[in-house]
Amino acid sequence: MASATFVLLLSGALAAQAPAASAQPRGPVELVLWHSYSGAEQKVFEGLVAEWTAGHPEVRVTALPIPYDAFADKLTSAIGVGKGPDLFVFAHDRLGGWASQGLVEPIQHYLDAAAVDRFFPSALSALTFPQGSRMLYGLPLAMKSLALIYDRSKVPQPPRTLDELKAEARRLTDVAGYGLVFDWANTYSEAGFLHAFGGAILDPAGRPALDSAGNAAALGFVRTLRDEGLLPREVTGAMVTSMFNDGKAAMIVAGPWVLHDLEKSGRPIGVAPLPAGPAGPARPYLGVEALILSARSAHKSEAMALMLALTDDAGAKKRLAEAGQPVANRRSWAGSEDAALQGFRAQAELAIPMPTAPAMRHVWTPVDAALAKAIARGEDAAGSLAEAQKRVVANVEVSDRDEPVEVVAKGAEEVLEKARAQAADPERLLPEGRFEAMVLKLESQGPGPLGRWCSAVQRGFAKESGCQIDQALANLADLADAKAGPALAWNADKTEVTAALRAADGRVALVRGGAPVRQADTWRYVLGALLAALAVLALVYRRELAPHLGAYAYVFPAIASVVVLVFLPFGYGLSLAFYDVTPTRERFVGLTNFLDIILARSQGDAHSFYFTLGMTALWTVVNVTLHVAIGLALALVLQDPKLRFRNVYRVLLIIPWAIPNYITALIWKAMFNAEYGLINRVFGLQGFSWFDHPVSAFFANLATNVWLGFPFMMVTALGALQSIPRELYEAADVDGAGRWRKFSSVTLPLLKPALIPAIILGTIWTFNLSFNVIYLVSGGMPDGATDILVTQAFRYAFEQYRYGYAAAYATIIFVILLGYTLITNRITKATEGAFE
Amino acid sequence: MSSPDLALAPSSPAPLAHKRSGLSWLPMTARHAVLIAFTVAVLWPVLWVLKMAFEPGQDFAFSISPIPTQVTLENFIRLMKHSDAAGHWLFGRQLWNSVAVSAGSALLGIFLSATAAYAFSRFNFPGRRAGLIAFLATQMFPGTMMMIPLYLLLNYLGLLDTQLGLILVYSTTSVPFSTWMLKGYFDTIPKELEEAATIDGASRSRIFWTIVIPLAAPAIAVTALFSFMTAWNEYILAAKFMDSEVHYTLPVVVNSAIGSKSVRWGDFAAGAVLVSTPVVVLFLALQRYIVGGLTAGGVKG
Repeated sequence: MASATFVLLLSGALAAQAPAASAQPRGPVELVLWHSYSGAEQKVFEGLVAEWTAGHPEVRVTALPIPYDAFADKLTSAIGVGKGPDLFVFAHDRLGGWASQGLVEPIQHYLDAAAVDRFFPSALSALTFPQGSRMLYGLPLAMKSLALIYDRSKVPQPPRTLDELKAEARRLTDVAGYGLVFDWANTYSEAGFLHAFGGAILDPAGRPALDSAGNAAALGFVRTLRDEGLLPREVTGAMVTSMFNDGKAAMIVAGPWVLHDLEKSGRPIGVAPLPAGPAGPARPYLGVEALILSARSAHKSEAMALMLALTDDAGAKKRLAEAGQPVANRRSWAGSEDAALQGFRAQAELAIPMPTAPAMRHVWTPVDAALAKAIARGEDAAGSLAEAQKRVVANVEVSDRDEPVEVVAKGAEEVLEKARAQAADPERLLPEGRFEAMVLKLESQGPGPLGRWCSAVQRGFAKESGCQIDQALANLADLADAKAGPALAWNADKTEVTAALRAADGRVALVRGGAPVRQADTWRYVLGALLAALAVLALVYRRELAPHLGAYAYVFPAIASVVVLVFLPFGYGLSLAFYDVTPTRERFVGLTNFLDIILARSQGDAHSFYFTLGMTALWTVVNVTLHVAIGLALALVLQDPKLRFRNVYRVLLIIPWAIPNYITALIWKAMFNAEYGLINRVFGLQGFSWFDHPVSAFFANLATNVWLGFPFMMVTALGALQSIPRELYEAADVDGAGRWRKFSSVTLPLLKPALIPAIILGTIWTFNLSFNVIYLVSGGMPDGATDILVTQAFRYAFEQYRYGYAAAYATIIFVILLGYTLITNRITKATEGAFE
Repeated sequence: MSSPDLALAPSSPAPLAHKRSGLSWLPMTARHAVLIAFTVAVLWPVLWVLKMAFEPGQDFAFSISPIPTQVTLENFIRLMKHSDAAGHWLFGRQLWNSVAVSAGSALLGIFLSATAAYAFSRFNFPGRRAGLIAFLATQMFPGTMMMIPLYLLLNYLGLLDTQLGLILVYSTTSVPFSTWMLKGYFDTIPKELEEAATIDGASRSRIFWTIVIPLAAPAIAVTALFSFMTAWNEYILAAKFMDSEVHYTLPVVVNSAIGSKSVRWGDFAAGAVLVSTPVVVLFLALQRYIVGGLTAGGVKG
């Protein structure tokens, strides 16, 4: 342990004190604010930001809208490298992960009672982590939960109990539409019903609690609704709104985000809390949209001022009135005449904040699967839930077991040991030398407005100047209280760590230490090593290489850029495969990841590696076969110059290739919708849910991907056909060859040199790049059965954050493809010509 | 814009075999039936996107007919008028970014792959085989694992939030495929032409730029189109690497219509049409090249 260890005292009361302001005059400050609002919400929100900026010429604010699906990943990467926004808007449910990674800043010590008083308590409590502690990670903007939306012309009085709901649904369901429509196959939509029967997804301690009688009863209830024909066979979120607008649904379960669309239909809308079940009201999950402060912001006090302004009464009133946001500021609701929004507010107050416990991120897929099994396929509800429970528990164990402290920072274990010793023996809690003044300063401070925390604990006290250390220490003490044990904070390089632990007499023992290692400039080392290796090679073989300098000059730019921008990142990814890497830990594990995959040791997956591998192989073979068959057939038809409109056909048939595949994948998914999808309506299959069965879901993916993929093969075959010399056919005619004979002994062999490389490439692409199709069309449904290796790797990396495991998975994919290519190459000599 | 002859590789000037091969025995009506069936299947989803783009509102269109019931340009106008809080016209900037990044990627990609392909085709040097195999192997890297390292690398190079960063990433990802295609095409260009030029005293680079490149125009057009299209359509990396709205490319904006809970289908469809149209037009304009340029290299004369 290289750095100094020190001990200092904090009285119990001190930790709760608000700090003094230390606003120093500075030049204009630039704040960056990220959000993913669009439409009216974006307009009002950015308007409020502009309004605030106008009154604060010393601050410039840039608001950046980011597509929702790119948001979380971008944020994590950016803050991780010390960039990213000063503050951002996001739903609270990812806070747990971000807080434990140290990406977001606790703000409880910036606030006074008046600032806190304006919010609904449930909204504030959603922003604490660990939930219910004093650590507050944001200011709530809006509270969004599902509620019962009904057509007042059809439903005079909203049902108050689930029995009434069922009766009402029965009364209103007829050939023209349904009494009740909601996304019953979705865990988020279903949560309220689970709670109404006394069930839950996580227990209060944040552990999975799926296998309860209450949950089974709730699933049973929804199943009877569906079995009686009171619910559509298949629903997706987007459909619910459209059905209500089309008058095909009298009651729906949806959130405030649909209000804007519903109002345009002109139907009289009522909003009421979800009806009560045997165990109480159906309390849906509450999502709290909040302004969150980045731990890396250099302008925290300005950012805090903006956060307070955006959530104040006037701002909230505007957001409520003009953007239709169910705002979390309770004082701004007075006088709001919007009955629909008032309905959502009533529901939000009843709702249960979505748990921020890390276990939550493992819940969605297994519970969705249990819903599909128990409700759609009529399997035993208790059994389906028990299986989901088993999977969630297994995944939680793998990725969320308590972080071994030694990987948080070098020397953390030692620091923690010291803190424990100090706390156990208050006699030894002595202020040390230069830190005494600081302790005195802390004690002398009264409550003030805003302070400024510059991550003092993380950076080391002595190095920072002009920042409030008290807040850092108070935060750490809060965290120790929240965990009822030692709390750790570490700096960005994870070279210094501070431990806090409350002693028996109420004082807090703080120990800082660590083993500063020089942060390795990985990229420079890797690049340097590469260059050195090349130089050595060039030196050793200079005699052989000298005559080829001209050739190397031509290849060099391409090779260099591909090495740096393709091989280097890939190598980096590859190296992760030997580590157990998650956002909060990193540990060398050798071949464990590979063994886990190859021996199919994971308990948390619905399907083993081999099942997914088989599915991928099947997917690839069927796709490539169809691409080639259809492409070749169309090319043979199209190549005849006598064919009228030949060019028109050729032009139109090539279109799928030109349109971005994420667009067409989304459209195809909608076309396969059970109830209103084009396919089911044209073929009279209404009610058949394609994504409930592995075979039909596979088919839906296949149809999409064949649609996307055949033009490439068609064009390849057309080109190849055009270059077959006519003399060969004339010679065949002379020999008296028939049509089939000409095709099999002239056309095919001459197509081979063009087609086989195309087939190899097509195989690699289908194996590797049909990601969008699977992910957006079937999404792996049912329960991962239609996932292929690349989508599964993506799930490990970006849904479970098991980067190391995902890297091992990706490595195996690469090895399989390489093996395939080398083998086919050997057999067909397809690319041998290239090496001549 | 081009004569049909351009569809041919320079080395295969033999007359075509339309009459004798293929499905000439199949009655014309049957052939048209097949083609019409496929064309309908291809166009139906596309027409549906058009319908949603031209109809007012943000709902998903639940109808069998792809013909819009009401036609309005409001979705397009809203998208094209898009400007930021300070009143700067963003759509124009973003369109320009898309064009600049895609054209830059195509140009750089072509430069890198054409030079490499020429070396692979004309020289025999140590490491040639390994280089070709390595290029093929890049197509097997799962893209999922590249995202985080690429972000860190661009951050290290100081290229986040720059067009150059995107151009470098896009062009290098397309270089391996383009190199293979161009190499195949260069192989079909007779070496005699270059030998004659050498005798006349032309340098290697002069031969490359003035003889080989013009002869390979169809293949270069196709590879440029692919590089352009890859860059033009991409949005995940663009959304991740760009940190300001004036630096966004159009697909990033289009995908902003897909929210966490709901999709603004009208905006999404209109954006999809705006993004797709230029590429479709390019495809149509260059389609003669595509047919020849894509495969002529595979068939050795």
